[in-house]
Amino acid sequence: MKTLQPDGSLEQWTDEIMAEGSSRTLKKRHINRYLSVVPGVLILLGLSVFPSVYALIVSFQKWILTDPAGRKFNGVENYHNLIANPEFWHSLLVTLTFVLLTVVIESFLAYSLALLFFRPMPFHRIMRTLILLPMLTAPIVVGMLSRFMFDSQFGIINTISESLGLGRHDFLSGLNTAFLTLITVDIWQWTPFLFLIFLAAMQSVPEELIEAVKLDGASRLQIIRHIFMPLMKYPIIVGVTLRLIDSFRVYDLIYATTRGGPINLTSTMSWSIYESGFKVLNVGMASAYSVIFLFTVLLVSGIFLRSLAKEGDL
Amino acid sequence: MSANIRRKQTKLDGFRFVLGVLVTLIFVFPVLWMVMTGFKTGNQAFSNSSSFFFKPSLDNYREVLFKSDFKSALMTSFRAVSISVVLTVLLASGIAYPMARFPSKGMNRLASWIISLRIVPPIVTIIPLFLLLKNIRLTGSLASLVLVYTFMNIPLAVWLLRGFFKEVPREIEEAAEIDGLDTKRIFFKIVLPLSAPGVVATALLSFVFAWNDFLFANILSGATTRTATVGLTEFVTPVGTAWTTIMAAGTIVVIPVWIAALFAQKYLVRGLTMGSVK
Amino acid sequence: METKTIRKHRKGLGGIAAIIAITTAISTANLTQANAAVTLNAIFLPATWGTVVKDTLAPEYEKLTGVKVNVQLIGRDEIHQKMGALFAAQDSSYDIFNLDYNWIPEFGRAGYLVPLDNALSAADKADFLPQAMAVGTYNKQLLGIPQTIHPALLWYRSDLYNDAKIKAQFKKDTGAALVAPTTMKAWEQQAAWFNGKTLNGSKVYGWAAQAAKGYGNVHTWLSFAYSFGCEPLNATFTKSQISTPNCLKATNEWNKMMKLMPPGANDFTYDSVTQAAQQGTIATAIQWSWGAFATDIPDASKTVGKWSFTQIPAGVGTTGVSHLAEWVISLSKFSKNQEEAKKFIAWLETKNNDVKQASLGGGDPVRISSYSNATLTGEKLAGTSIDRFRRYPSVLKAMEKARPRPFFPGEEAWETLLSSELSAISLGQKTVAKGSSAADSTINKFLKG
Repeated sequence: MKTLQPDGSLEQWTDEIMAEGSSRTLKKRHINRYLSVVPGVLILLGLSVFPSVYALIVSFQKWILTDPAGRKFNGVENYHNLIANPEFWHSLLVTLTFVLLTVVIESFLAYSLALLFFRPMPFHRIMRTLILLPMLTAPIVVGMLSRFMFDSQFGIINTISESLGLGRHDFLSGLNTAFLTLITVDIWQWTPFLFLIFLAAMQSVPEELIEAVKLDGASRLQIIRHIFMPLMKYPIIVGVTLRLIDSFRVYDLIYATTRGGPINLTSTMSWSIYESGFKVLNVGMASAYSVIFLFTVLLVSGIFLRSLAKEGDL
Repeated sequence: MSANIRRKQTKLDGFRFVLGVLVTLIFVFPVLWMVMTGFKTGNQAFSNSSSFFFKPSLDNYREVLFKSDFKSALMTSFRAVSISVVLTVLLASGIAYPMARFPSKGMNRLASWIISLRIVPPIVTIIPLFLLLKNIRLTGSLASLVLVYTFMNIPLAVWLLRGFFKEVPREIEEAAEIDGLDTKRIFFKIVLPLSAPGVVATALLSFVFAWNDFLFANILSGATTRTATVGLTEFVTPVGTAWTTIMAAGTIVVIPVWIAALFAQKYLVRGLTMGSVK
Repeated sequence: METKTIRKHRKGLGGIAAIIAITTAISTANLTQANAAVTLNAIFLPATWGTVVKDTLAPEYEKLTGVKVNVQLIGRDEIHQKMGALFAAQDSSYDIFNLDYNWIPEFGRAGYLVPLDNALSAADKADFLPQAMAVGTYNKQLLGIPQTIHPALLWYRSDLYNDAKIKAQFKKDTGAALVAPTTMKAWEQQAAWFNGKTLNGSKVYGWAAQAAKGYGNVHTWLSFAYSFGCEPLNATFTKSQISTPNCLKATNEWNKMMKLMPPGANDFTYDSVTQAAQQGTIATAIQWSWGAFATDIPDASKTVGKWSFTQIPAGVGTTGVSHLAEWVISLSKFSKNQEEAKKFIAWLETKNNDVKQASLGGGDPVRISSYSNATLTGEKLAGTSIDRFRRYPSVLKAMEKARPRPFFPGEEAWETLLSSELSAISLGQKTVAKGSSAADSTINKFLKG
């Protein structure tokens, strides 16, 4: 191995390294450098590529777990049955509506909150820490807590609602309220996530810039539009994209509260796949469903990710 | 500023403070309700008169920790998650360090692929994963949980660690190279200790996500491998739902995460945005 | 600064490493523990009969035979999901399963359950209620030994029905006598009259029953269906008949009655019905016979001893038909301890243990002899002269005609599909006719595939 001469400069050292060019030691060093990548990549490949391929294969089979003898290749029948089933399209609608509503509302709320907490106020550090609690709580716990709090007979939300004169409601089982209640819970849990990101992004805007523009007589709104928004564009897109991706996954909440009901009003694609795979035990159908679902998520997220890639160093 | 503007400012600030407190209350109240309910008895929980002022009791915690099987579920969670966190940090460092120190086109493509894994919803992997695991008779084992959690967390860990490793000043590394250390020793003796806070933060965040998981644990859990999140749902029985017990158990499930997040607070934003916001 | 940072973080990292080392040591220690005796692993439902096995009978068995039985209590849907998953994986981590009998055809057809005919003597087999044995049998093989049966019964509040003032008022308002109803019409009249009235200081609703989407509403609906002579499926389970006249009558009645339940009814689980019965907010109920025990618990119930039981009212004819519920115990084909497991299952359902389970608060007995057992029939509620098991005569009578769910492999999936449509009907999203025909078409599609 080359050692640096006492009076050697950094560049010269680098040049000498480069000059080693085709020597075997350099190749070996290259391999050594990247060797550590292998174990991690193997696990990632193993648990992503193989399952995906397997899911694809199974999606072309008729396979019900309790009928192992009846397992056979059936081409695109699973896909055909899905697309011909209005329940599938309903699930798609429920999922897209859920994702859209939650992400949009959470973004607006989080941004407003970030503006609110941007300048210090008494106890603002404690308040900020407390606001983070919802997103740290395990989703299944939030689910069980929601079921408890929104209960028709003894939930605290109904008690409060009644005392405010707004009457009692079947929040989680009513035709008109179940879906909205789930959205509300999701907003409660994840707005802090976006709030944290937006606030950090806001606070990374140089103070001097804001002061300078204020001195020039800029109004609050102008500051927001022309300083905050452009400088925060990247973090906002990152945050919203991540929230979008995660919003597709909602499962724990439904499991603990409505289980897809009432009827099928809260049956997202994630939930429907779970039901067809693990309740009806039709894994062929569930795999086909998963493939379509993945496609949908990639499509929607891809749009956002492309704009991200343009902006940042992804 | 004139006195008028100052007065308006103070009024505005006052209004902001009230709003801030209100908002904080909204986000905190349900959590507080859960913790409080964990200290109530069945009758107290369902009567309106003892909503906020009641004599606390430790019955639920006694039930959860000593009488039920929940303790073993907690142990399983702890075991599976901590082993997986160690693996995650190790494997992810192996990927992140070369990415940070020796970037190349190949590394960038790898990075893009790894971030794309973040998009895949778990339900999509769970069915083929379950079918595959059953073929190698690994269903219901601790190993399957560890594997799955590690897989789940590596993308995030790679992203974070890459950022942290990048922050270690080049000069220090290069000085070490000059002194004759090879890459491996440079990493373990120089880079790792210097980026230790970031590594710990990564470990803590991986812990949070694995600990909070429910879907994988629910489907992959076996006789001895139910995690705490799955154990929580077992308090819902056909004969009744022991709400106060569930709330106590829920509090127990949440506390480690709150503590972990408290320690990683400085790096929370980085962790949640995969390192893109500092 | 550098050395201090390294030192500071070395401690933290060291601490974490130590914790992990300790936990791994603990976990591996457990694994290397030698298993001297045979250990059986069982899954039971967290209902009373599951907890009785776990808390009392399994430890007793271990003392008797040295065979340890680990009992895990898991919810109904989870048991089904687990069984599907574990059997498909040919997993032998569990030997014994508590099954809802409607899963017997499903898992029986797949060959996942071990026949248990030789675990019971002929005398034993004759002692079990015939209906109970029938639903544990598939393809002429006994695949599940009955553990507890509970037909749906009509519960009614004897304190309200026997109250002179209330009786008089009812007579005045309706011209009919307030007695335990024998027809759906009479019951509907009574429930409607009770609904929303404040009697003896508390507000009551007409009735309650399981109504949640999933399996709850189907299970309640089945009692209506059978009492109206409705056959939900044809004899070969190849055609759905929800839109036949009798079934439409049944669904109509069920839908009408749904309006006479307390608020939040569409969400009602078994648990909610129990609570309503305990709190005294309902005048009648359709609920499993065994569930009555909860209303006799002094600390939890305001209606101790106040519930009486009779047959499901008749929709057509003179007697209604109960929907039969039953849980059986089965043995996994992949168990590595089949003989030992068989012995344990048979032991759980000996004459003595059938009585013991009942007296410990488990489900209702499965043996004919248990229903005339003096310990059970003579037992009174603490401090009263009210019989603890006053429901037994009604249970036996109900078992004469009780009918199980459609006994075929696709039953669980059938329930899921039907439940959706019933939910739509009771929430007013679809009319009875529309919902029924929608049910027919989705179910027929499923049966074909």
